[in-house]
Formats: sequence, C-alpha cells, structure tokens
Amino acid sequence: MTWTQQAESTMSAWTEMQKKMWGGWFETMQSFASPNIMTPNTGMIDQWQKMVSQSLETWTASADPASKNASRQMVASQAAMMRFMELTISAWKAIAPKVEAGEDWQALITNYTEQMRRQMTPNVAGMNQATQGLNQLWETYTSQIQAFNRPWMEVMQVAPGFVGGSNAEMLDFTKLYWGAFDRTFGSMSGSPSVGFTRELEEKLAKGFEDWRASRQAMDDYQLLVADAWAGVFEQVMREMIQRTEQGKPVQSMRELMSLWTSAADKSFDAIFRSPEYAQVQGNFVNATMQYRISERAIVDETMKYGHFPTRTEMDEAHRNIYELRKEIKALKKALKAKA
Amino acid sequence: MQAFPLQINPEDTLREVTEINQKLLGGIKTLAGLKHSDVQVGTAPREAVYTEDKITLYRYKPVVAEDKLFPIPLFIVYALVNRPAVADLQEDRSLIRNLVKLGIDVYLIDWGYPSNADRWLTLDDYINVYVDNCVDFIREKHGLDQINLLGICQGGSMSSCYTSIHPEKVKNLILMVAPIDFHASGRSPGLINLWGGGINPDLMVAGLGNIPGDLMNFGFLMLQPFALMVQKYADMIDIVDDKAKLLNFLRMEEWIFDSPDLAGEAYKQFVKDFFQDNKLIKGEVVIGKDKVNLANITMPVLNVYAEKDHLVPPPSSRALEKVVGSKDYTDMPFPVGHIGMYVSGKAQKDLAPSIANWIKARG
Repeated sequence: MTWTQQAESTMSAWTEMQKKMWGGWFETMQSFASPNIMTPNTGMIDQWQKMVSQSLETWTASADPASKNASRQMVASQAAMMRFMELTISAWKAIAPKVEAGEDWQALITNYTEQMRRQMTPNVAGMNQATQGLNQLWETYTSQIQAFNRPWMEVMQVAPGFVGGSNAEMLDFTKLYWGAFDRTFGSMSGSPSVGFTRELEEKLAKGFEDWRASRQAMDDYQLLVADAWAGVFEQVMREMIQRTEQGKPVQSMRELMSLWTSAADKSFDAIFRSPEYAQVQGNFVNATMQYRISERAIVDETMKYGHFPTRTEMDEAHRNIYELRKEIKALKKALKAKA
Repeated sequence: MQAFPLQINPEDTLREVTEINQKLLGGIKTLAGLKHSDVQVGTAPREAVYTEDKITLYRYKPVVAEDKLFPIPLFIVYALVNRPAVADLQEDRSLIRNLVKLGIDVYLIDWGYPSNADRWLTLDDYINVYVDNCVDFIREKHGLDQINLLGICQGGSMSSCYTSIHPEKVKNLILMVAPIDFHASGRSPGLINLWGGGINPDLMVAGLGNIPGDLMNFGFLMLQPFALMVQKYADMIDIVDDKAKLLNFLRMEEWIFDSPDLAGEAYKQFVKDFFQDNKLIKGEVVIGKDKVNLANITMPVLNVYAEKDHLVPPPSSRALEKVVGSKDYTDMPFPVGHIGMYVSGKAQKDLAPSIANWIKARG
C-alpha cells in the first residue's frame, strides 16, 4: 500500500473509531440520565468534551475540590490525546502524496511546520494590524473598561440612597463618565486636557497607552509560544520517522501522547531557556502590571464619585495599621527586655 | 523509508479508547465519591502553642516517652510559597512524623494565608519578628539558650539569614533544598532564576498588592507545561482503579494547589535581593537593620539537597559551604528531585534518620 493510501486508510479508521467511541459514550451518558445531552454529529472531539464536561459537573457536584479538578484534567488529557492523534494523521495525510512523488520528507516536514507556524501567528500578528487605527483601538479599549466597571456600577445602582436616593443622578454620572471617554479621544490627538474631568481624562489616556503596550507585549509573547508549538510539532514528526526507521512505528494513541509530551517539554524548555523568552515574558508581565496600575487609577477616580473607599485608600490604611502594629510590637519587646 | 510512521489498527485503537474510557468512567465515579477528609494533608497530631497575627507555631505531639525525647527541639521554617503540609502529606509520607517517631521534638511555623492587610509585611517581619518570636517562645518553654533550626526551600534561605543575625540562639542549622547562591546553575540553570531576571517586582507589587498564589503556581506549572498539565493526568487514568494510589495522587494535588498569596513587600525584596541581585551569597542582604553575613554561621551545619532538583539546582545549595564560618559542615545529597525529597521511598526511608542522627551526634 502506498503512503497516500495508508494515510487515507488511517484517517478513515480514525474517523470510524471516533464514531464508535462516540456511540459508546452516548449510551453511557444516557444511562447516567443527563437529559440535555447532544446528539452526535460533526466536530466530535469538541462535542465529546462538552458532553463529558456536562456530565462531570453533575457527577462531581458534591465532590472534594481536588477530586473535581483531577476529574476535569483527566478528561481533558484524553481529549488532548485525541487531538494530537487527529493533528498528526492530518499532517501525514497532507505530506504522504509528496513523499511518494519523491520529495524530501525532511524538507516537507519543515515546510508543513512553516505553514502551521504562519497559520498560528497571523491570529496574533493580525490582531495588531487589524487594530492599527486609533479609533478602532480606542473602541476596543473602552468596551473593555466598560465591562471591567460593570460589577461596581451594578452594585451602585442597587445601593439604597445612592447619590440622593434615585438613579437619575447615577445616569447623569454615567453620561458624564462615558462623555469623558469621548473627550479623552481628543486628548489622544494632542489637545491639552482641561476642565472638570481633566484628571480622569489623563488617567484614561494613560490607561489607553498602557493597555496598548500590554496588548503588544501579549502578542509578542503569544508569537513566541506559537513558535514553540510549531517546534513541538516538527519534533514529533521527526521522532515518528526516526522510530519508523528503527522499526518501531507509533501504534497507539498513548504512545503518540508520550511522544508529544516528551517533544513538547523539550521544545518548550529550549525556548524557555533562551534570553529572548526571558525578555519577552518579562515585558509581557511588566506591561500587564503597568496597565493594571493605570486601570486602578481609573477605577479609584470613578469610585470616589460613589462614596466608595478606593484600593489606594485601603492600602494607605493598611500601611498605617501595619506600621503602628510594628511599633507597638517593638515597644512591647523593649519593655519586656527591661522588666 | 518504507513503513508508514503511524501504524494504528482500527480494532486496536478502538479497544484502547474503550479501555481508557472505561477506566475514566470508573475513576470519575470513585473521585465523585471522595470527601475532603479523604484527601486532607498535614494531619500529624499537633498543638498550636503560639500565635501572632496570622502565623501559628505548632508543636507535634511526641510519640516516645518523655525521657526518650531529644532535649533540644527542632524548629522547622518552611517557605512562604505553598504550604508546609508537604512535609506531612500522609501517614506514610511524612518527614515530620518520621522525625517525631525518632524522638525529635518538632515545632513548625505556619505562615497562614496573607490578605491585603498583610501586603506591607517585609522579610524583616518574617525573619526578625515572626521567626525570632517563635524561637524565643521555644527557648523559654524548654529553658534553653539555643534550639535546632531546620529551614526548607525558601525557608532555608530565610533560616540562613536568621541564623547569621541571631547565631547565639541556634545550636545546629539544618537546611533542606535551600537556595543560597541564586545565580549558581551548574549544567542546567533553574528556569525560575532565568525568568526572575526579566520581571519588575516593583511593578508587580504596585499592580497586584500581594502576589496571588495561583500566579506563582502557574509559573511552576509552566516549568514543564506538558508533563504537569497534560501527561500527569493522562497517567492518572492508569491508577484510578487503585484507591490508595489515587488518594496519594490527590493529596499531592491538594497540596500543590493550596497556594497562599505572598505578602507584596516581602515578595519584592526576595525577588530583587535574592533572585535578581544574588545578594545573599555576596553578604549584601539587609534584613531590617541587620546585614546578613553568612560567615556568622559558626555552629554545625547540615546541608541536605536533591541531586535532581529542577527548582533549586544543587550548586545553588552547595554554595553555602564556601561562605559559612562553621568548621562542622556536612553536605548530604539525595538522589531525588525537589518534591521527591518529601515523597520518594528513598527519602522516606533515609531522610529523617539522617537528620535525627546528625542532630543527636552533636548533643
């Protein structure tokens, strides 16, 4: 049998196996009386995982948290095994005809990996390109900030007697707040901040800059990780060939899983030990923290309007208490030593 | 190349998957029936003898007759990261129980779970206040000038600082998997050291206050992401029908994911001074008003380290020998990894007797 035939036959065997497996699970799940179970169709692994997750929630509702977590992870690991199998079969299916046509398999794997790398990275790089326009970026930022503020907004709306006891002022305040966003956009183009909301505007503008920097840093990080994944895949494919040459081709899902694991940790380890990774990861963490600091400044500013203590005020209070406590402890110790 | 690299047979694969699924189902049923009490850790009988703020000093109940109890207590200082329960995971995997059985009078400081109110705690508070007050409590209770101190992991670095500042209160110092030279790497540099260099701890603490335990845990999982987040649970499928093995696994899970947040200021100082600037080995760390000079450690020192440690590479621990002032210094390697020091069969059998014998030989 040619490689192409073998690859196709492996793919149909795999699909058939999944159908049978699905059927088995479906019956089992029904026997556990999960009424909302889905009927099998395409996207089997996703559906399988969703179905098992539903049942897991029911079965482990009153279980110990460590047991619950372990159950979830165990199911996820089986789904991972299946995904690796599917990914590997698809790759061989794509490569097989070219190997038969006499092309160098090493170059084919490299090319396939490169394609994979390109497919994984545009999602990240494209995100930046797609949002180059300030308008679009600003919209994304404000929608995130609005979502972020929602919980406290809701609390304030239901709080009795808020700002004079009615929601009218709340609405005015909300308008003022979101109006500030619009005006801040003007400040982004260089106009000086003026008037009542100047401080908030400046904090929003700073938040926007930090948010943009954190997204950029996150993209850089994801690119590096995507690159590592492509490396893992390449490594798995090469090791499979090595094993075949040694007369020990992969024959089971678990064997393949072990191969993925050892290749993955080797490949990630190599990336993780590079100075580039330390730098990109450091930038990512630092930029995220910088944004969080700006975010807090915005939340602090808006909390003041609602008569709520801010995180910064709480920190100050905690610091005072801490210093007083420390002083008292030192005094007590000195008194005890003297006595 | 003749054969196809993936030789899966539909019947065999179906059998394999069915078998996995059956185990999975059985395992989930077993897991669903477990109670929290089944997977509790840190259960050796003990008594809270001193509390201060959120910390608690425990004394483990002796199991030998009073006259057989070694007269100088051993005070254990564990890391601020994770919980000390790893030293007492279960009855048959417990450094603490093993020491108690050998007649050692064991005390342990439990740091508790820092909240936002503890964000300003510094290493000075942890070392010169909490540890020192516990040491004084034990000394007073036993009418002793000096006690034995066992520092584990980060608790070992902290115990080294404490001993160099208060050498008159420590009779023998024992360190276990303790980082001393944070830039010593040997053949394989620790990833934590590499990563620690890129982050800005000032920003982290300004942004987060306390450092969430979950964030620290995620960092540890990322050291071997596939092995720790995927393969480990795939392997678990093989033990789900063995309740004893399953409970062992779950107790470890219980410990791993029980991660207290880290007090912001203490975290900041530890990352900057220890990880990034490697000041401990250079004699430049300042705790409160005290400069830490490891040459002040002149009492006997036992340094236990794990030869396959991926978190604290052996050279990082062994570096202590060159800087301590002690004339009685012992290196004690174990052929295990960082966690293996608590759970491996070898450590269970040999670690506690080695420590107990070393202590007893020094009176």
